[in-house]
Amino acid sequence: MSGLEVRPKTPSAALLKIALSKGSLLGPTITALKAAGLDVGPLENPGRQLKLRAAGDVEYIIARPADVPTYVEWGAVDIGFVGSDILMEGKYQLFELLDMGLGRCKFVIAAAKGAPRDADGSNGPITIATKYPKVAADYLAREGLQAEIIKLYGAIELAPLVGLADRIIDLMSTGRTLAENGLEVVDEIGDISCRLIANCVSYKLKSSRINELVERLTERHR
Amino acid sequence: MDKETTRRPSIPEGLRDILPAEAKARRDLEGRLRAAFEGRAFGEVISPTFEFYDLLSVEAGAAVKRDMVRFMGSDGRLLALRPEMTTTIARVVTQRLEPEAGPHRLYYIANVFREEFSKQGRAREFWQAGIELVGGAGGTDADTEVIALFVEALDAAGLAGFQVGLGQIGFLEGALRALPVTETDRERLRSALDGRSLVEYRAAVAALGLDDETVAKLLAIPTLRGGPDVFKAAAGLVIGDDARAALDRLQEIWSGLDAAGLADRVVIDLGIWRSFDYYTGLVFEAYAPGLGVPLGSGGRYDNLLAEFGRPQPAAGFALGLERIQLALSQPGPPSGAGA
Repeated sequence: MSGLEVRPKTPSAALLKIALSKGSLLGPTITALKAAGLDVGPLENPGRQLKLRAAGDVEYIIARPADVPTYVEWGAVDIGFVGSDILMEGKYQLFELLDMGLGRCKFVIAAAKGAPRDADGSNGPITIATKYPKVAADYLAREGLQAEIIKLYGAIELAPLVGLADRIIDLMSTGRTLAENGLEVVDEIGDISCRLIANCVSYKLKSSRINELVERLTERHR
Repeated sequence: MDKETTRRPSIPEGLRDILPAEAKARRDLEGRLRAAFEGRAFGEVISPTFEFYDLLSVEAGAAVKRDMVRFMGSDGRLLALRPEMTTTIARVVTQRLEPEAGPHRLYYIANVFREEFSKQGRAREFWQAGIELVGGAGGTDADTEVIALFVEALDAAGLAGFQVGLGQIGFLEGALRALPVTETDRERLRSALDGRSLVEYRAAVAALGLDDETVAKLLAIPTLRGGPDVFKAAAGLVIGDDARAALDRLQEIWSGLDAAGLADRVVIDLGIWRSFDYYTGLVFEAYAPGLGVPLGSGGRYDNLLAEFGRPQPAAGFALGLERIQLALSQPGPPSGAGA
């Protein structure tokens, strides 16, 4: 998308506030930012600091992944890096600028190995355990299926093993956890990866800085 | 007194009372906006708080329809609290005034209501001050007048350092009409832009199976932003006659603003997209540094009055009063915006 872009006249000196997702995305995101030329020194050794000031008028916060879009939507930070699973589960007013290609995994629906593959609820209600009830409801609506959704906060694989649910909807990266718990994929729901998101107003008022970063992150990607 | 016997009264979630200090600031703000609107001979309309749901949902986007606060009248008809004022003003012009005798210059200061299902605790009632310029020739003079008043109102509110972005929905819509793509394809592109996802937009463009040059143009359009040199860049991205006409019209509006000495108050931004279905051409938004949401927005909606059987050109805007008050209370000098 470069080349044709016309630079706006907003000043580039203002502080750029960036939210990063804690957990498995943190390392790869820092590496990508470093390669894009940002000062990531303070991130490599954060200590107990919650707000980290870096060279080049940048400030980082490290937040729980599910909170990152909220910080961005309200304008507490200008941009953020978060998995698209979080964006699918919420409904946020923000710009989704770039697929970072990091943290790739899939939303899948899985059941115990050997469980009937065509369970469609005609022999009684089926139950689905998940951390992502909205993703589950959207999937059911799209596929014309009916099921009861049970919200859990972790260790979703446990639900079919203890008879809490017939199926689960969860993220899968290698499939090892599913296999170790005697589960197999019934259907794939969608691909997930880390996204660069921006606040609606920041994307306009700090567009030159944000677009410059987008370009550098894109180049690295190719 | 025993705690268990003194129960505090409560009100429904997402509503609030405005106490004297804030109310005084609010009324002062309203007075300044009122003076700005009346300075250009706009007259106030006070309309009912609720109307028929069918009428209010004409041309409203899917999200606004879903978020309306609805209830049943005693005759069984579905009613709704107004979610915005533009549709109501269009109704007033067709029902109570002579649409063809325009231009009608009307303003309102009104509370509007929306459910935010996914966000418990978010405001369900908020206040808007806005104008509608309905009927008349509907030329670029009208667009220029509306934008000039938009800037004047924000000045009158006491805001400094805000930025106004001008967009043109017709530029991309015209291109989509000229391309050999299905209505389903167009809807996917619109819904990507409604959701502000450039990732999904790029995927949708790639899936169209068009030649490389057209793809490059479609990808570049939503990123075009800046001063008058945008027109030069946009001229290289025209797809079809409708897009050309839309771009010419935007340039004419800009020239009108330039002649009025307002050119340095606006930024051309072909990435602005509005999720109300009724916008047909010009769209604009205002941003303040330190506030994460736009101060207000508006545009041209030439098809809305046709829904009530009396087609007339129209344009207008609405400003969020809570948002302006928030921006006015931001600490420190405004930074970031090039006003």
